Amino acid sequence: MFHPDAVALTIPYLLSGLKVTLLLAILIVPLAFGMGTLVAIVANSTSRPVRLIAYLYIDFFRAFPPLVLIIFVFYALPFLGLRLPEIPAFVLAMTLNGSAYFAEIVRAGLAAVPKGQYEAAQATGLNGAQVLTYVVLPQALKKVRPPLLSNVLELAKATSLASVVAIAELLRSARIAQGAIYDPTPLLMAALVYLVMFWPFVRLLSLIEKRQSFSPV
Amino acid sequence: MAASVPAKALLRMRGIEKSFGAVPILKGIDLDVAAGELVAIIGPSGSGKSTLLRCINRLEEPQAGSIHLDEVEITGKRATLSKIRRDIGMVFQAFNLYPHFTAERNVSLALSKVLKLKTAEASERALAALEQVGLRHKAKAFPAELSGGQQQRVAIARSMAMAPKLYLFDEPTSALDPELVGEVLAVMQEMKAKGQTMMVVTHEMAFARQAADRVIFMDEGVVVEQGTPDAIFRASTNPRLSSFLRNYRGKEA
Amino acid sequence: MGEIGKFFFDGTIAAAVLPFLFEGFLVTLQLSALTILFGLSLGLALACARAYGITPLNVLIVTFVDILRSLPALVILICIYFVLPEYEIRIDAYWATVLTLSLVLAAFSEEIFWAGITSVSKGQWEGGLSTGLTFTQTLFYIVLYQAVQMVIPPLTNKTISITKNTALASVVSVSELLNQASSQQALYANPTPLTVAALFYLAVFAPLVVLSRRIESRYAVKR
Repeated sequence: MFHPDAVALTIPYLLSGLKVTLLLAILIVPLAFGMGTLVAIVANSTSRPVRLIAYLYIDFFRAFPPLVLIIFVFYALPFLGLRLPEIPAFVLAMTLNGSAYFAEIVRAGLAAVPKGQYEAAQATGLNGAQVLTYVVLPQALKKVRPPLLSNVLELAKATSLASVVAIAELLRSARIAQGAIYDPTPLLMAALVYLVMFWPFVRLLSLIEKRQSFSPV
Repeated sequence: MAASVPAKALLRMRGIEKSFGAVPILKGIDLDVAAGELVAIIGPSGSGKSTLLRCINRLEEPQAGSIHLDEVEITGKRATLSKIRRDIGMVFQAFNLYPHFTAERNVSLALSKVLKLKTAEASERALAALEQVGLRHKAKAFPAELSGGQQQRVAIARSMAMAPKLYLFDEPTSALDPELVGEVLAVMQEMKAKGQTMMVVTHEMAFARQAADRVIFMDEGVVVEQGTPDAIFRASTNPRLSSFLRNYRGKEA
Repeated sequence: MGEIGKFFFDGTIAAAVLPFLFEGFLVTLQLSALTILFGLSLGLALACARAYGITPLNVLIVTFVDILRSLPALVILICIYFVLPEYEIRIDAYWATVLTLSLVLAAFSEEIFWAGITSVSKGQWEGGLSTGLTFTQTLFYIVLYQAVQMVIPPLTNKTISITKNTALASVVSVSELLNQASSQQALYANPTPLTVAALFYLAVFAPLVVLSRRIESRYAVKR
């Protein structure tokens, strides 16, 4: 199955691809999480129109398959004269997608924090931002830790979509190598790399999900 | 006298042992129950009362000993579990009604799936059982629409409909509000009057005294004392039993 | 703004590409329906099998689930489509997509169904068993219904997000919605087909996304 020569030829391709995959994940996950948390805070605002805007954002970007967003950013935005380099373009598309999911999760977490927590924090003189940062957000994030981590995993896996727009991440590099040596070994090896990277994460996630019941909130 | 070893035992348990991990729960129980007898089992929590009942219909597997029901061994071979259980009714502390079925379906499910009765027949028999516990008018209600006492009566009807040889009651009134206990005990008294064989783990001392033929006091996995209600509640000099009863009266007062 | 608007949505082009996109849209719907049908059935079957507690079988199920959760769907699709033929197993692109997404949905839904089954109280099992129902009868008549009812919110969410991945089929040249839109866009050198495709996706998935939140909050209140 794994021909030694093919393996040796493939390794450099996969290493350079892996670097790009990791770079994408390291950029996208924090950006999407930060953006998502902001949107979630807006979605919990007391003003109805403001809330509505956040909900529109969440539902709009959750409604699109990530690949559609990517294709749109890559092939439609340039018509507007907005031609981003490949990696920023991909990061933008996945941040829009990922932040919508993060926002929905954090929003549910915020909604599950008892009102008394806000009131108690306010009563001690903390201002709005402090109430959120020190009292409410930590509790909210703890409540929704399993879906948050699961979304981190999904975003990391979704970096493979970059192969479609010719970014030489892990999957794309494997396909280039496959084309170079006429052998499926690179694809199987890439799959193996994904497995080695993400399986521990999946196990960890299973354990956390078991411990913290999967209840929808 | 009912309290002496019954002439013909419907249920015969010998040397029943059960432990959870390293913790022994039952340390060799010998017990006979005669047909038509109501045996009340009392004792502090953790004494093994519930485990004993659950060993009889094999919700727990005893690790040693044998149980015979009507001269047929019911320990051992796993293949007959379903048969054993249709002959032994069980009523749980938490009712364990199926929340997604009506009262009638709760009762008729095993009739149609275990006894393979036709729908009409199963339903008729279910309604008759509900009638006996005074809840025929609630046949179409879901468990969530019933009071705790009503739910427990439906649960009793569920085992009654199978016409078992033996009933096991595992603290049937412990989860009920005090004002709802009476209706459940009344149903149990009626069953007793009709000659059913019942083993009742209970904390209702008044019920044990008044309705039981025999009272069994268990502590730390053994039967410490057994006898008529009078013998247990008045005449016994056993220190563990006296201390248990004293504790109990203190709580009830 | 009007100029830009016209650029992203040129009425003439939109009208011209609509039949193609609609055709692609139908393929997307088919792919989605088949994925949901096969994926959820297999996921439920695996969760039920797991309830029997047969250790070797459960190790296999958990391993299957873990692998399918670890690999990106696109990687699975590419492997099925490009690697399997090397071993003389040929699956066309359409069915390769259905197979990939069904396996992925099966893995994720197995976890969700299983969580539901384990959270049904022990008393429900005992209630059924004590009346003489077999393990299988208790599982199917009593436990499963309650388990499924409990997990409807996460199940809806996951099903929607995996079903959206039918867009991946465009990578292996299945003429579904995104694929049609991309080729029409190339043809007209204008983004309008993509905009129209986006509207199709929005029309289908936005209501589902809103619905799934409704279901979730209704359940949250009940608890």
